[in-house]
Amino acid sequence: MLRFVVQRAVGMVVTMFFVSIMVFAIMELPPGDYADRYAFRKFSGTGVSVTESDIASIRRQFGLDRPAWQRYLSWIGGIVTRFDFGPSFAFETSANRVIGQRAGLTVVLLVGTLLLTYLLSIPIGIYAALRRQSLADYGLTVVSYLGLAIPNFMLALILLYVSVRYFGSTIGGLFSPEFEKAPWSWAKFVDLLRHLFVPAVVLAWSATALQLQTVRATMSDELNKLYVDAARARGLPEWKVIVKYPARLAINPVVSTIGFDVNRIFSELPIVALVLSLPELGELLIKSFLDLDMYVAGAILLMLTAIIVFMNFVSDVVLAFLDPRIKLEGG
Amino acid sequence: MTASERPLLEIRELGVSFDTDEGMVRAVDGVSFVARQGRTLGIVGESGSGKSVATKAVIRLLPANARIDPGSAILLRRDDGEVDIAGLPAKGREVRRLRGGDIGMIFQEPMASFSPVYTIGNQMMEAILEHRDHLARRIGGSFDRKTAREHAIRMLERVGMSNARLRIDQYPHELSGGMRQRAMIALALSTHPSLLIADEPTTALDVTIQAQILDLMLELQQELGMAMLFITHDMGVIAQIAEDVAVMYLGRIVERGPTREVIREPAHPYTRGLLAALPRLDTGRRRLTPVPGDIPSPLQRPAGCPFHTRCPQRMPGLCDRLVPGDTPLDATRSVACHLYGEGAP
Amino acid sequence: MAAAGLPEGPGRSAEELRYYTASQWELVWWRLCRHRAAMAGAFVLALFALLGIFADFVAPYGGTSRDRDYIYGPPQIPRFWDDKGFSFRPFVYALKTERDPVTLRKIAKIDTDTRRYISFFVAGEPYRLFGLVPANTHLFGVEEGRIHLFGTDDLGRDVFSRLMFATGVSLSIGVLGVLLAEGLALVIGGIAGYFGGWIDYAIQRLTEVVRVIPVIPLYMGLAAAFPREWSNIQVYFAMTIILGLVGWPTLARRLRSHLLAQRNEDYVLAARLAGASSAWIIRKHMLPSFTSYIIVDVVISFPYVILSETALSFIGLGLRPPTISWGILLQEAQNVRAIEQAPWLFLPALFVIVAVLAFTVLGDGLRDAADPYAVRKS
Repeated sequence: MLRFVVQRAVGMVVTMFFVSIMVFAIMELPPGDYADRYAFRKFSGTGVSVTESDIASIRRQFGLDRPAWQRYLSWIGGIVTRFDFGPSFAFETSANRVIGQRAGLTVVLLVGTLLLTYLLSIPIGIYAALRRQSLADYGLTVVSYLGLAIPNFMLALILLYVSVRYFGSTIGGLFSPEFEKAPWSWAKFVDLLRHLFVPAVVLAWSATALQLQTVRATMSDELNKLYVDAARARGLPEWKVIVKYPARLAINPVVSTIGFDVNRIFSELPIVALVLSLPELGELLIKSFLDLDMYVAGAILLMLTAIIVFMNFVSDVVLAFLDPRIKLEGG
Repeated sequence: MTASERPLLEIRELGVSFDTDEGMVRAVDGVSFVARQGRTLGIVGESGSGKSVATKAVIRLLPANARIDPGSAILLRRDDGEVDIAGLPAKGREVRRLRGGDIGMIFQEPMASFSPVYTIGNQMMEAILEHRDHLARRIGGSFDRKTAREHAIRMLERVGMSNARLRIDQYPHELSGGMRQRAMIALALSTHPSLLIADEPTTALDVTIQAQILDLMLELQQELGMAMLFITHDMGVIAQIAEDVAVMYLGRIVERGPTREVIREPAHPYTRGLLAALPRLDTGRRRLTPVPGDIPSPLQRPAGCPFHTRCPQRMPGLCDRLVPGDTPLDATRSVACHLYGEGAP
Repeated sequence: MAAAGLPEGPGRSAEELRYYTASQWELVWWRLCRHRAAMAGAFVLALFALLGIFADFVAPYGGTSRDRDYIYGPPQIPRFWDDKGFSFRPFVYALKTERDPVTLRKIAKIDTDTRRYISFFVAGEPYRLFGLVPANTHLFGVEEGRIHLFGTDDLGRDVFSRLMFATGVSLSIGVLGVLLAEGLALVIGGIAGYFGGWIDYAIQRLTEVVRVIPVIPLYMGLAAAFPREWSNIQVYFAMTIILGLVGWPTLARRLRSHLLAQRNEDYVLAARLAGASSAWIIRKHMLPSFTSYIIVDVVISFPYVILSETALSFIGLGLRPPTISWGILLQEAQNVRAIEQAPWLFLPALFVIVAVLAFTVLGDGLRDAADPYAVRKS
């Protein structure tokens, strides 16, 4: 088991290495660099023309004139040794600072959504498998399909509208106006939760729908297998027969797709955040690409993918723990 | 009859139908047999003969759309009296106590009857602890996790599993086919049932392992004084393990009696056909002679005798109209065939 | 358990014979036809596709033509009768503009005294069918005045017409994106599965890396960097390519493991022993077993691409006006005034939802139909 974990951990590092190269390549993709943008801004903002040598000196100042591989190495080196993602040109501070708070929000929403998804989809999926073809089952299927079909931004808008119209609250943004600048308190925390509730529900709905169907299908398959009948033949109580045996296996596909779920959530989060005016990384990403503030953009992409890669690792390990058959199959 | 010869299990007029989309399907049609302490009753038949359904009915392990005839009786004799399993509520506590306690069952696919994600020890101890009261009555002692584990290890050793103390913590897929079958037997017998139902336990094994397992089962039966119901389609296995045999066809028992006699002098044409179909090395015959035709679908039961559509000795006008009753041939044998009935030639 | 095999007895009916001698594809098709929900989904999608392809014809007006007299106008619903009597030809009421006495803004009002009859195959604004053939016949229209089945937006543009064009654009992005992704998946997965060895290993690493990229953040970043000079066509293709480039890992992976596993299957060995060549085995045995996979994956990937495009255009990072897509239409609907005054502007959302539902249901039906082990009624 330990060997398996170590193997997977090494794989994770290797993948991250390649990912970092790819992210760097993406950072290099848009034409021009910060120096050009800066000059452009300066010119269009103040009408002061910027000379070539000015641009060149800015470039030198930020180290943008070095060849690509050198910049890559110093970038990666900084991250790995000091956890320093580099400078943010536009904000004139470190990228870490700029990203910090928003990254926190992203992670909080991610965890919240995942919890909501799994807490809902697993029990409901198991229940639906037990009560196939019943009214509840059909109802759940309809709700699932809706969750998959309604675009998440629409859902966010609808929920926003509903809450404003019928509950008279302003759910948009992170805090209600009165708590915005206030110091932390229990009430502020509750307010935060209320605001995070809508995005978590929006994100969780489609993820839950997907997992629910998967759990239901797997559970149905397992219920028909011999070992369930054999367990009954041993005189075990029905609830134990269901929960200990087939349910345990129905969780497997859910665990194996944790990484995929995280990927999806990260893809949907920026849009939902935009609609709900939450300060999130997506907005920042757009801005940094517009400004060609490369280190910030790279840091965001790198961080998001790192989380996904890590969750893939977690899913592999947990799956191996849950299902002893996996270990033997190796890589 | 002496105490040891009184039947432990008596099935009377058992009928089972399934409520399907295509209508009511009759799987077991008025079957009666007994199982005695210390003796084995073999039940032989093709796929579709109803043998599995009949035995599963004994522990009420049937799917939700199964209907047992109201007139059926499944009587089990226990220390505290007799109980009619057919009359018990299907999901009730009594039935659960019987399952795995008084009546054990082993299946054809040992890999499939263990859950792949728990160790065999885990599943064995679970069964032992579930039936701890029953065990206490049978062999005395009280059972907690520790004693249950020791008991499980003892059982594994008893079934010939090498290194039992190590194996008990292994997963089913880590054992070979033969070992898994032994583990399954150990699991079923660890609760000291008075009746063991074996549903084709050797069918999936190769011949050498098969022989070992059969020997093991005979030993254990003797030692524990169990009654056994052994289901198979293999006459050769029946000859080795069962003192009595019942031959089933399309939900009815067509012939029954002591195994030796039935094999030596089969009465029913179907039994004769089955025995004749066995490949033999000692005769010069080159071609095999299977029973002609296929078993009919239970949705289209033939009128009269169920076997008449394939019977080389059918009597038109009689066999296709009247269902033959159980005709005794002597004290221990009976057959359901018009050839032996009142209208016999 | 009855024995398997053809039912006994003389003279099977013609229908039974057809069933037992049908090819695999015919069987799948028949099973699919019986799945009513999937058929409904297929019908809806076919309808959308037709509407999109023939948008110029179906829509009474061009995508950008404006009716300055009818701003934020509610939908005009065709009627067959009113208090003046019954009429075989459907008609709508004419519109006239009035000034709201309070705000002094122009408001469109329905004139219930004037009927405008709807005719079919009328001459209207000229267009080029498929961009090539000049024509000016439209499916329906009114002789005088204008007809706005779904109302108009803040610039007086006919929502129905724009929706038809949007359907075409959004669906086409889906098609192209999915084609690209599936094509890549087939090639990459095929190579990995066929060659095995270190090629397979290298491709596996590559798949891992691409698989972990979150698509929309990636796209958002890149889109922000699209040069302003890019034409709408370029943006359209860039979007399609990016969405497609990231979509191949799942299918490629499945294909690869499928190929690797199938190589060792007994039926492949049996075919080889019977003398079949590799090409024959691949074509006749291995290909059909994963073609159904491909079909199902294609149908399931569609909604994802379409939803991505819709969302991205909605926040303004995708296609840009004057290109029309569902996302762009929804973006224009996204303000408080619209919700209160012109809710019909959200009709494109309905189209999106219905399209995605149709794809999902069809995908489920296809999966069930192609699965030989699925439990079915006789």
